[in-house]
Amino acid sequence: MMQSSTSYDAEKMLLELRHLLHMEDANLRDRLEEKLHALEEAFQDDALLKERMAPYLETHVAFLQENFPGLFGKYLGAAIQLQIRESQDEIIDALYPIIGKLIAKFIKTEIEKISQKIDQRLANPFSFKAIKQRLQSIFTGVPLEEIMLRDTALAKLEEVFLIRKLDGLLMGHYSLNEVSNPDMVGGMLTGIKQFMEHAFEKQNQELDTLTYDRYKIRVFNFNTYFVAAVIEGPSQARFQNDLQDFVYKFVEKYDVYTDQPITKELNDQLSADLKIHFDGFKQVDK
Amino acid sequence: MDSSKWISKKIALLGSHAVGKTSLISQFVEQKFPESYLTTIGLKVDKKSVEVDDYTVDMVIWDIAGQDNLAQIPHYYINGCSGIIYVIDITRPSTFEDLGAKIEMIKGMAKDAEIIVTANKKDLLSAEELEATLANIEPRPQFATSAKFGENVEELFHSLAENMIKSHESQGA
Repeated sequence: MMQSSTSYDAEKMLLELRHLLHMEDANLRDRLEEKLHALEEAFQDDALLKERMAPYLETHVAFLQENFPGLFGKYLGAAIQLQIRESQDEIIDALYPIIGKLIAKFIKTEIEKISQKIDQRLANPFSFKAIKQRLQSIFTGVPLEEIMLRDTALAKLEEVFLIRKLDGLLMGHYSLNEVSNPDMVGGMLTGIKQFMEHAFEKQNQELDTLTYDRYKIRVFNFNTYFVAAVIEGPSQARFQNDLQDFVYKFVEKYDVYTDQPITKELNDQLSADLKIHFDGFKQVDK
Repeated sequence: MDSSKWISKKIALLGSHAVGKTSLISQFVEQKFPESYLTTIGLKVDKKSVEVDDYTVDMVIWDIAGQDNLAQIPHYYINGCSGIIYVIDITRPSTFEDLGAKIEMIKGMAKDAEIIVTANKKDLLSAEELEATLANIEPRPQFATSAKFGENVEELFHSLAENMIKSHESQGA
């Protein structure tokens, strides 16, 4: 009997213990369920999710913005290259209207400039130039508008540089407008000239023309120096020939010694000579 | 000023790539240090006037693209130079290897030029490290410069101008 009572007690205690343990498990499970439920709600509630994620997203977006070229530059470059290669027609179709508009705008602006110049001249019909153009039109039979248009589009001699070949130092300079630093321009012109002549080395050949936008630089080569003339606008053959004659006459008329140090005295003298001489060219041009 | 004492001289900066040639010129001409590195393509010409005694020297400065091999520098860029600054990077031994031979080679290319060697980027070393490194370079550079902070840059160009004037006077010009 004693044994049976003991066994009953042990079983009861075991049940109680199990109950206690289960209770703890159940509590833990309940708490986890609650948390899981709260998390589920948080994930399903868009407003709440946005609020929680916002700081992290902002930080990450800032990081991406700052490091975008490094992180994605090469992929983007490759993707754009591939896209351009594979869809050339589509890209041309997309860009054509934009480029077309740009070209049209440029042409319109240029025509407006010419039109303004012609208007200015028409506003003063008794000027020497206007009378000369009218007479020219009467005697040659060329319409007055064409003569005015041709005169408007005339080339203009902007600058003349006299440069020593050996070191590219500026010996003299003539300019219609003030240039910020003719010494630097002279040096760079020499560098470009020397590079071109050596890169495409041919016996006794020297660079004679450089073109930049509306400007053309004619280079007249002499033994120890060269003359670079900057021309603005479309120059006709007659203009080119006149300019060449003027440069050769300068060389004949004035002494250009290159075997002495280039001093301010020498530079001032040659610049004054260039001015006297090429002011004359300006008058012929007009 | 006597305008015969106002003279123009061509000078060139030579040295390996990225030793700071363009930065030295920028610091000298504009008192600016370019923060981003842009390699020089071909050539760039600048100008600055320097007063030496009763002379004014218009320094027309040719910044020639860096070449590790001096023989590859176009000789026509160096023709007619009255002064050359050879720039080394004090933190990169490869830029001052065989310095003596390089200087001799430059002398052969520009016979009448005054040559000065400068060790640039001195700001990257402590005073002790700088002295120890300079002591091991043969021939020892005449200047140690920092294009970044402008240290000794004015002095470097001024010294070259002085040397060119001495040479100019000794030629009886």
